[in-house]
Amino acid sequence: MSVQTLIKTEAINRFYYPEEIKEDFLKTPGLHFTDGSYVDSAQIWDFMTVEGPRRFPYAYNKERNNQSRMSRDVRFFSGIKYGYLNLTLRDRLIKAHENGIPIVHVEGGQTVDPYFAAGAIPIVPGPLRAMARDAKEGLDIKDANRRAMKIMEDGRQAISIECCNNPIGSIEAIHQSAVPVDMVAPYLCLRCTDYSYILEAYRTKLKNTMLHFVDFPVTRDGEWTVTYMAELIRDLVKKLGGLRGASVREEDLWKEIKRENRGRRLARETMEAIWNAEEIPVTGSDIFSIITSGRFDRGDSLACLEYLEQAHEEVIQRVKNGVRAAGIPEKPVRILTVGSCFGFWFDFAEEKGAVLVGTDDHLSKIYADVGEEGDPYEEIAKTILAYDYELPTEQRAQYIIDLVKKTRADGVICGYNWGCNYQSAVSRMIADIVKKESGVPTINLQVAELGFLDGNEQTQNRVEAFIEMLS
Amino acid sequence: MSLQTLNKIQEALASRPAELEKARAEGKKVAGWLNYNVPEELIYAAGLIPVHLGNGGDNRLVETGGRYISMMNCVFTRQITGQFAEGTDAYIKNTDAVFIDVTCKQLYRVYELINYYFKLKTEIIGVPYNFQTAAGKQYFRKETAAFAAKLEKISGKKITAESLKYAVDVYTAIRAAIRALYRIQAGQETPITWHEVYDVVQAAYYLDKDVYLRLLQELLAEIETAPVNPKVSPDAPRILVSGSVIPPGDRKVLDLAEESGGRVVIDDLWSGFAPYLDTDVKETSVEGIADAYIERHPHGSLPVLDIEQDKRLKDIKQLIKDYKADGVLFHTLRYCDCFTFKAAETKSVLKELNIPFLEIHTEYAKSDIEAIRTRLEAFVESLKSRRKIASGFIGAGI
Repeated sequence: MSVQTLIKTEAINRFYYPEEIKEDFLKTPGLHFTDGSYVDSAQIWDFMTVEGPRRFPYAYNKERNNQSRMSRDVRFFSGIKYGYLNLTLRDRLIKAHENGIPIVHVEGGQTVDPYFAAGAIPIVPGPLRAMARDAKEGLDIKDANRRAMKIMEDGRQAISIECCNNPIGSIEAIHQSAVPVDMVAPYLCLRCTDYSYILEAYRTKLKNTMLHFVDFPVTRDGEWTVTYMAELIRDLVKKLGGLRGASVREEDLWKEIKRENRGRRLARETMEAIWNAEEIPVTGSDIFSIITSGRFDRGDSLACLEYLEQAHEEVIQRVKNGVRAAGIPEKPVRILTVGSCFGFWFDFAEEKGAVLVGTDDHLSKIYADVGEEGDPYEEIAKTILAYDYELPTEQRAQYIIDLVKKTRADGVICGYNWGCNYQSAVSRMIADIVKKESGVPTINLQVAELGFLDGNEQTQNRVEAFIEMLS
Repeated sequence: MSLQTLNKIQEALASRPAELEKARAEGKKVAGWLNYNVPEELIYAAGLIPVHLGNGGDNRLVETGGRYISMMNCVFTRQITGQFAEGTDAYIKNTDAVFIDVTCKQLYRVYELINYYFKLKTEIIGVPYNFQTAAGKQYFRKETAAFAAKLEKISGKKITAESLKYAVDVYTAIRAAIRALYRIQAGQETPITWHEVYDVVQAAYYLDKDVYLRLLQELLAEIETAPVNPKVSPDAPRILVSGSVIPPGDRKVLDLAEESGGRVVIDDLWSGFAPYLDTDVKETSVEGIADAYIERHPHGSLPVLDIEQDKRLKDIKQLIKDYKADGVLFHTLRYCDCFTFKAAETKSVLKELNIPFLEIHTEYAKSDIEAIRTRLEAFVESLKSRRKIASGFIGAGI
């Protein structure tokens, strides 16, 4: 292919926000941030239509395997604001870091209330790896993908080819100083204990980053388990406060817990409105943004909360008006995904006649409020231990069966990544239980190459065949 | 000539399944267990028969287990799952309840699978990953107490002060005897090989503990007057084996190491010497037992973020010194992350001490045997050369 043809193809594949939506978009509110700053919708529009495409062209590529692409439903304005939170994450975290706010790397799927309450910013693997990739700007989709892969492969070469992509990609990014991280302090949730061993393997390599972890005891039925976990969280909060030389008060924790509970409630009310609607009002990409914002993963709990408020309002309006989101097929096959770190190809599914209605991993976070009375550390501990996703597998399967009913799913895709020893071990068991007890078809897939642009034909074939079977 | 007591141990092992069947017919119950931190003394003190489950080295069972657990899990967990699926293993057949401690979390998943698919009565014991903290130790004390209560319920008997003392005394004596055996086999000239001692250690998985202790004491007495085993070459390079589990049934890498001219003299395997190295019950109580387990040589599954606090690594260095090991063979199973991810750092730490290190990353399939043999032969050759250089032999004629 000639250079001219490549440039032409790139231009054809480029996604734009059309000018005709600008006027309506500018009437919508902006977003407040915890540092006291505010961006209005005009600033967001400018960033997303001028600065964003210049600095992050890959995000505007319409390649269907591009997991970082924008929602094609451009009239869902909250989606544009989520894109803004996404693409400005690196800038905001660098600024916070320079202002003495500790940046703390955590695992996905954990209650982040204590981190924000302690004045730190928790950052989970997906966004962290994206930040590392974005350290080099102006990359097209292939180069952006190559850069992210290179960091991950450097890590695998240093430790082992058997490392799961997310933890090794994240920790190696920190090692390469591609992201400004002051501390790594995950909970060792059952979703991934690669984290503990990768962290241990880097203990002498990460010289300027404090390392810590909080155990996740799998015996949840003992009173002493809550006591143990609460003690560990108390210690964690103390360490987080210590990073900025401050002690964290209980009222700081309660304030953050209340804010995040409100966000979680909004996220699930929004999702329930989507599931119960006659027509699917938003794309799979926006569904994913709503769910993950309910875990406050874009670096600012206040801005995430405001995004959720706006998304909730838009969704309710669309449901009332019977709006079907752009690109959603008529009577789509509803797919529920199950498993960790399982980002799906939303647009691919929609092109094939399906829509992703949720993922058990991320949904479990928005269904886990923290109690607002008593000892905040114990309340956080109880919530962590009660996460549906982290329950014993037979109980977790019951939670998935409930989700099948709630989401009105037609099929369940159980997936796990290359190198994942813990979700993979019970993926088959979950698929078996859910199929047997709900009657809904299930498929069990290793999805290692989901993040790749190429070489994923086998997974495509399986997913496509599964959707066809359900159609 | 083989030591007589080794034959007796083999005979005891051969008759053990039938003994268990008989005991169960008479109303006794067998508690099978898996992993590293199940306080076995408590099973014994509760009047139950402890049996350590889990074998390796059988690729057919790995395939069977793979139908339930994924290919992303280590062959040991796949084989165990296969063993439970097949249900023909003499010990699994004779197990009334299975206890699994949550040290290796892949084995925790095995607990979930056997519970669901094979409807076995299974229980877990939580193990703290923040095991060096006061909160972690307290958590393990509570978990151990809950485990003791479960045992009493299954056996229908109370763990009394007397039964606990008896159990602790027996296990303490067993550990002392194993340590003595390890010291003897590591001598320049010895009547017993490490390989034989390793088999003896794994006989403890199955045998009645009183019988086992008596056999160990007999073995130690016999060794005192036994002739030197001519198969043990005092000149062979001395090797420390570390890394992933090498359970009964899996001798692939160990056999190859010896066939290549190496001599294993020590290990810190959790299926071998690790539980005997420094488990020390200072106080005869449930809490005292919990403390002894959590403070001993840690399993690789328990992560340590400060290298200065890494007792496992410190113990390896001490064992190299005490047992005069020339090199370290680090055995890792595919998808056994807790050990595999430690390999690079362990190599680098040992390099600073000028200790050669070889990682063998493998599974139970036999297809890599010749490749491993080549690497082991080269490793042993290099150890021999280092010895010659150190002794001034090479270069003397130049």
